[in-house]
Amino acid sequence: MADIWLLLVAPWIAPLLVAHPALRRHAWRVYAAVSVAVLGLSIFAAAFSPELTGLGRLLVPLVGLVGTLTVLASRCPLHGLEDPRQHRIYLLWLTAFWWSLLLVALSRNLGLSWLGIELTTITSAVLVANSRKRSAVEAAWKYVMLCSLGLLVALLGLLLIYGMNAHAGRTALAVLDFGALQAHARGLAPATVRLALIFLTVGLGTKVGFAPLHTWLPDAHSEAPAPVSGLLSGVLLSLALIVLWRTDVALAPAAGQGFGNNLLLGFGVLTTVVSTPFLLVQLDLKRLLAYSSMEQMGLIAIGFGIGSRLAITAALAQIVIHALVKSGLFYVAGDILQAYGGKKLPRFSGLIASQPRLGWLWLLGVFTLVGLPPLPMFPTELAILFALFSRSALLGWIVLFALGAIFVGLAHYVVESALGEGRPVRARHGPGRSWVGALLGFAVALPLGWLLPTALLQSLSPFLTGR
Amino acid sequence: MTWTNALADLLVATAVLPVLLRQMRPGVYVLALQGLVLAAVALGFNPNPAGILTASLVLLAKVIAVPWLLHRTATRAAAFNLVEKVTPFTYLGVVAVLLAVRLLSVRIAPAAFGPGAAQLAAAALAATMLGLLLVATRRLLPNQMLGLALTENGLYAAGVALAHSLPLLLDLGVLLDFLLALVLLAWLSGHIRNAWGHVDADQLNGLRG
Repeated sequence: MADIWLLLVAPWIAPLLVAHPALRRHAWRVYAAVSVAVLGLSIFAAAFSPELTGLGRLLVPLVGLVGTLTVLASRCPLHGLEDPRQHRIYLLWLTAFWWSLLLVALSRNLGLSWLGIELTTITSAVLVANSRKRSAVEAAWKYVMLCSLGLLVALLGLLLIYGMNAHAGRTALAVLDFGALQAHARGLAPATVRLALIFLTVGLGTKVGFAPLHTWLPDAHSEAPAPVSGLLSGVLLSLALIVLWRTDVALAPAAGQGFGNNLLLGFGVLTTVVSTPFLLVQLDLKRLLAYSSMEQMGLIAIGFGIGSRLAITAALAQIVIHALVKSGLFYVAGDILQAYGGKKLPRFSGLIASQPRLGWLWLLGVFTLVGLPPLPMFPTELAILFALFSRSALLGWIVLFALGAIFVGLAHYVVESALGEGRPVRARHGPGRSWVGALLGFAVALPLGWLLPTALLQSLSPFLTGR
Repeated sequence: MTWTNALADLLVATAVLPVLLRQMRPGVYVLALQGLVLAAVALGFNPNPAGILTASLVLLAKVIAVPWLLHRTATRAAAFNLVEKVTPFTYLGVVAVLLAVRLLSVRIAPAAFGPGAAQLAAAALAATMLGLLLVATRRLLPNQMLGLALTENGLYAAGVALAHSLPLLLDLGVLLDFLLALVLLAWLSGHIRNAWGHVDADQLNGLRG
């Protein structure tokens, strides 16, 4: 237990150290050093802590790693954070956001997960509004309002579940542990459990970015500082989806095996399809990545919704690869925006010629996202598609068509922007160094993406029983 | 239990009024009144030291802190002087919510939660839905915050009705998270007013596509 507490306390050491005048000038270095220590603790906890079982062993190091990369990529973030004091405030809120994500990853309780997810809304919204620009404040308002409303709807579902348990004489917080929910589910009224699941799916689905509840997502992702967008997209959406999936599985004995799965499957297909046209016509770099996250969440929800061993394995592997690659792409996007001073894709045609590091990382990252073989999202997307076809050929063809369109559209964009004939635009400012975070993330994701599905398949039973 | 039914009716009435009022100021006062109803609900369902503590916290948060924050935000945004339209859609929404919840209180809730709590649970659901309706139908940002507060109040009542008392950590956590969200929204509303010169959500259209 001590290692878990240490993991929760450690991120706050950095702000305490930076409060000392002697260390204030080296704020980013202090935060970076502490974040590496937190990463070490998260890996240690995953490997040795008896408190951490099942999915926690996968999620905690993932949140630790992406959080560390985000801090490393925040050396000179965008949006006028040249002022050291503003940069320190930014780092403080980034720590708060990361900490709330760790809380969700560590939690095995629906109530605590809900509290953690709501906390992520507050801490990340401050970061979204960081630049104080009109568009950023507007995006933050929509983000807080929509997600708070969504989470209140989810809270209604949670209260229904807790109320039924309380009516049966079970009243402690531990009643909402996912294991306890599953153990007592058979005694609950099926109609009310289904109603609660609908509330939870709609509520948490708002945070995941399910269509049509997604309107906050592209706005918040495009207005937040690029490293924060990486953490939002790579980790936050997936964690909310995992909480929803855990709840569905835990309540399946009461609601019926197919009910929660069908909700996930339906929202997954709808989200994948709805995101497609937005992806194809999008010229804003960060909005493009945001809609791609929506598409990825749709695919992962499809995997969870199908519920077979193969589909769940692929969905979990997809979460890990997506977290590392998408956050890396946002870091690269931040550097590109800094170098070219504009968000629109046509501005940086011929990227490899002018900024080779950024160009190659951009190319590699986007090709990974669209599932180009032999990159690691190819087998996971293929597995989800196979599983979907075995469930419903019609849905399979719909999603295959959407993915095909996205592949062609994004491949065209990325080839044009990275290798295009267009005259390279001369950088107005030097690019930042966020790309280092991307490089490290890709270096982990690419080999891991091929090894992870096998490891997950071998150990899927403990993952499922130990959640 | 007649006192439960009376509190349930008061809860619905204090949820319906802000939705039908064209100006925000009386809506904020009604919200404070609803806070008093909720404190009575908390104490009525838990007549013990823990219940007194919870009711005190509810008084502090829902009768004083939240209405004060909304009053301050609306005053600074000059939103008290503005009149909003109450459309036929809003009236229709209120009627639909009340009918749906009536059905729920008769058909589903008694079986799941017992007849004593059913009436209050249904009223709480009504307050929640009416809060959502207020957010959906109003243009002024402080009015949308009022809708959010109504929604949360409804959920608090639902928690008490369904479980009598929530675990302290969850109860306090939800309250704190909600207060933080409202403070953040008030802060953002101030920035929006400074940047745009108004707090009209319909004119916040800088982000599209």
